[in-house]
Formats: sequence, C-alpha cells, structure tokens
Amino acid sequence: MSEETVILEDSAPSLRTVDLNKTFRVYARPLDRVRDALSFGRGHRYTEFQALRGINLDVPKGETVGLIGQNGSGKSTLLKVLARLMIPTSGIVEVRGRTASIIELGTGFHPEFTGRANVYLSAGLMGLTHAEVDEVFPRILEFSELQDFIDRPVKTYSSGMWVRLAFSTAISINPQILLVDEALSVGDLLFQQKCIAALRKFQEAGVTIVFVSHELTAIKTLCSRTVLLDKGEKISEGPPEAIVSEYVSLIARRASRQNLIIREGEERRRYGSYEAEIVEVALTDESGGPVSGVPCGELLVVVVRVRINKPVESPSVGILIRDRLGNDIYGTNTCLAGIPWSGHPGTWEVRIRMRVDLGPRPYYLAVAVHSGRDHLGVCYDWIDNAATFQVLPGQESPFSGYARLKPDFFIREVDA
Amino acid sequence: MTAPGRRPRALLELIWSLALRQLYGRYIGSAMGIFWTVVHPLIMLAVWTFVFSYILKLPFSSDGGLVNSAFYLFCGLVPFLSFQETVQNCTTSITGNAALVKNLVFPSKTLQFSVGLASLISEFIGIGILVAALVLTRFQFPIYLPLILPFALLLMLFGIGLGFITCSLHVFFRDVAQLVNVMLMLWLYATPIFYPVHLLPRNLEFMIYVNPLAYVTNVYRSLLLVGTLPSLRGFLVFCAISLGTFVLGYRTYTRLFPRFIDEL
Repeated sequence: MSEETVILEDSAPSLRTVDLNKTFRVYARPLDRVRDALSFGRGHRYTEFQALRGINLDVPKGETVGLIGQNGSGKSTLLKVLARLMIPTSGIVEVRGRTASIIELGTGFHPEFTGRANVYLSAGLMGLTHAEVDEVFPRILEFSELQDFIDRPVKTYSSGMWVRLAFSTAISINPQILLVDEALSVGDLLFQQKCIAALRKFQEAGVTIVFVSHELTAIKTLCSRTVLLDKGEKISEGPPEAIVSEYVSLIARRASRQNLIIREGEERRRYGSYEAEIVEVALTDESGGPVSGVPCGELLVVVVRVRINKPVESPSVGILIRDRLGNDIYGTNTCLAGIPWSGHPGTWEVRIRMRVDLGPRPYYLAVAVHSGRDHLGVCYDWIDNAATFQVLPGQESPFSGYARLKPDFFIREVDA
Repeated sequence: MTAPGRRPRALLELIWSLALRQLYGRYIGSAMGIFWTVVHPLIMLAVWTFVFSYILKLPFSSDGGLVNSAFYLFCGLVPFLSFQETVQNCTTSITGNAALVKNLVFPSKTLQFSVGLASLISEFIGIGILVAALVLTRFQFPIYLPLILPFALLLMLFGIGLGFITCSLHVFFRDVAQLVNVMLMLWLYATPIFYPVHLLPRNLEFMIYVNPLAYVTNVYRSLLLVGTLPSLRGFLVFCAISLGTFVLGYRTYTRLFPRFIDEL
C-alpha cells in the first residue's frame, strides 16, 4: 500500500487472500488412489502439483483487478478459490459481499428445457426464490435479447444465444463482487460490447470485479490494477499498462518447447510422400533466441530444418500463417519468393525473417516442403500447426483487423 | 459447498425444482411425457397380477385371494424401488453434475435431496395406483394410509444418507457405481419381496432382522393390506437407523467435499 492510503471505515477489503496455497494430488492410475485410501494416510503414490504459491491479494471495494499469465499460471485456480469453488490447501480467503461468478457460462442449463425454465433453475442455484426470479426476469430477457426464443428448448439455441442467456442470468442477482473468467471472449461482437458496457456499469456502481482474460486490450481498458501470475506465483502487480508490457516481455523471452518437431506428432496434422522431411521448426527473434510471442511490427524468424532424402525436382520450403479459425493470413515459399535453391540431398536450414505487421492475437504456423509453387501438386511433407505464436500489442498506434497497412492520412478542409 | 446466507425458502424451492427437472427430464420429448411415471407402475402391477395369481400362485398370506399376491409384491417393491432409485441416482449425482458443482457456487447437497424427493414422488404415484386398485378390486380403503408418510420419509433419508457416502466415493473411484448396482440387486433378493417370509429357511431368518428394507416391506404390507399397526419399538429402531445413516452420510459428504471438488 502507498503511504497516502487513508484507512476509511468501509475500506475493509472486500476480497483478500493471505499466503494462499493450492496443491493438487495427481494419481497416475486409479488403483494407486485405492491403495492410498486403504493405507490410512500412509500411502504416497501421487505426485503433487502446486497450482498456487503464497498468493497475497487485496482488492478493496469498487476496484477492478485483472489477472494475467500464461496457461497453467494459476489464474483460473485463483479465481475459483475466490469464488469458493475450490478450497485452498492453506492460507486465508476473505470474500465480503454477494458474489456472482461467471466461470463457465451456461453449465447448469438442461438442453431439453426451455430458456425460461433454465433461467429459473439457474437463478435458483444462485440462491433466488421463484418470486424473486419473477421480478428480475424481464431484465434478464431484455438484456439477453432472446424474447422470441425464450420458450424454446435451449438445445435449439446457437452457442452465442446460450451464452447470452447465461450471462444475463448470472448478472441478474445484483452482485457486489463479480468474478469473471474469460467470459468476454464468447458470443458475438455486439454482445461482447454489451457485456463490457455492463461491466462498466457495475464498475460505476462500485462493484468489485476480478477478471481473468487473455485479451490484453480488455485488461488495459477495464482494469484499475493488474496482477501477473506465473507458475502459481504472483510475480508482479500494478497499473495495467506496466504489467501488460512485463507480461509481453515475459512470454517473448520464454523458450517454447512447442516449436520442436518430433516425427509423428499426434496433434499436428501431417502428410506427404517424405522424399524430403521437415525435421525441426523453431521461432526465434533476430538474435536467435527462441520466442513464442512477438510484438506487432517487430521481426520474427521462422527456422525450418529440412532433410532431403533423395534427389527431388525443384523443392520449395514454405510457411503459412493462419488465425484461430483457420483462415489463411499469409503464406510464402522459396519458389514464390524467387529464391534460388538447388535442394540436393542433405540437411538444410531455411530461415525466414519477416516483420510481423499483424493484429495482436494468436496465430498458427503450417510448414511444408513441396515441389514448385504450391503444395497442391507434389507435396513431400506438410505439417499443420507446426508452431503457434502470439502477436502482442506493439509500440505503434493500435488498429483493428489483421493487417497493419501503415496508412498515411491527409486531411484538409474543403469548402469552408 | 454451502454458500453463505442461503435462506430456507430458496433452498426448498431449489430442491423442488431440481427434483422436477429430474422427473420431467426423464420423459421430456416423449409424446406421453410425465404420464409414463403412471403408466409404468400400472403395467408392472397388471403383469404381476397375471404372473403371480394365475401362474405362480405363491402363498403370500393365508386368505390368498386372486389379486392378493400381486398386491403383496407391489407393496414391497414400491418402497424398495424408490430406495434403489435414491441410492443409484445419488451415487452419480456429483459426477453427473460435475459441470454444475465445478462452476457454480451453490449448496451441492440439494442435488442429493432432490434425488430423494424425485424418488419419493414416484413412490407416491406407485402407492396411489396401489390404493386405487385396492379400492376398485376389494372395495376397501386402507385407513392407515397417512401413516405411510413417516416411513417413506425415513426411508428416503436412509437412502440419501447412503447416497451421500456413495456419491463422495464415486468421485474418487468410478467403480463405486457398478458396485452399488450389484449390491442393490443382491439387497433386492435378500429382502422378502418376491417370496413370503415364511418360506425362508430357518438359518437365514436373521437376514430379515438386520435388513431395514425387510422391515419397511413388512410395515407397508401391514399398513396398506392387512390393516394392522407396526410396533412402536420397531418404529423407533427404524428411526434410529435411518437418521443415524443420514447423519453419518451427511458428515462424510461434508468432510470429503473439499477433496473431491479437486477431482472433478
């Protein structure tokens, strides 16, 4: 706390944790668990996984705190502990006020029942009586904009409609504390904006909000404070701008194993005749250090190692960048780029350096070695999702969409 | 986990609507819907009347009327099936609703109570059919009918108590569900429902005295068919067993809950 902090009568934290730890026991086989259970506490056939280590958190009333960190850093576990959906192994959790947690939306819905019946049941699970739901129902209906569908079974809903109804129900209890896990990334754009507007309204009303998000823009615009978690530890805390850039440099620095290809990777789709093979794919920065993220407008190097097994005709090494939905964003190869390459048998390293003028979001990289201009004719080796990387917000002014086109603006007044 | 500040009214309403969800959910989408809950026991009663009165002719009681055996059977089976349904559905109540328990803060014990309530409702439908059949075929109304209620409630608590234990264990050991099904099947045959007590060999008679379900079967028969009152002593023992099991189950569940939410 800073020196000027005045302790007010009602400034007792509405959310607080002291030295919070959470450890999971992981059993390799179900039988091990039975053996441990039968040994009355003497068995230790499990490995421990510490999801949270000594977390101290203080969220005063009315503040909005964003939790960021890589997958597995403990953000969601922390949120679940705050929501009282998990009990910490040790430490103190204090939550004061009526809490709504938006963890996974619509999990309580029964697909065969109507939207209306599901709203009543979900609100009942949150602690409302039938009469109280009667009262808030018009508000839920209005916010969800599902007037025409409310009496149809929710199995006929689109996933967006499902989430809309669930979100509308979740916020209907007038919470004093709101815990949100990645809920803003679902639903269509219009509804996302509506959710953000709703969150802002809650902020104005003095509701305390803790939310987890990978959308760094949302973190920057909504939070008053950001907490960075890594491997279950709180590594820093402060104003969103500073913490987000710390996070960005953290993942940019971090070596990522996913860039290494071992033959027959199960999750990657791979095909080809294998006269030439891709043996390794890595993403590095200019100096050759491995990266998994790159700020927009900076350089990224894709390193592809190829082994040519037998003489092949006009081999070409290429990459294809795709977004989450599988849309092709950009693709090139040595042939298209007009790079002369003999490609005689042996092992080769192809380094493709490019300035990543792409919008900040995750991308997937497909890598291929084939004959000629594209892989549609003779393809020696094609690997989908050979690597993934995250484009992070850069130094330049933000933009919307995928491509940073670096436009010039000319403005003049005509006909005064 | 018990959420803080739940009001009893909201809790009861939640249990009620969860129970309705189960009852309706079972038949939703089918043309006859909720009527199946009535049709199913009706057909059962009809078939047994046929089998046991015309084919098997088991001597359940001394007066041995035409439809008598079927009534005896039905009388024993209605509470047992309700009990079986409670324990079986309780066992999978946490694992089957894992998404709910993991992602929503709500008093999760309402799940087991709602299972018990749903089974109780189907039991009452069965009893209703039995009483209607009694009135229509024998022109007699069982005047002790209201006394069924405390026994049905105690049996429900007994089932929920066991269910609390089995559902907690089921989270850790998925074999528990299979084990429970097998045990319940054995239990069904160990209870004198399909055979009269007096056909039981002497050395197996002790099974009647240690089996609460045998007691319940007997009480249902004497209240609904014979028209005699059970002894106060037997009732008190049954009370103690049911409530004791319930409390034990409740406490087991409460103690294991923090551990098993990590496993879901």
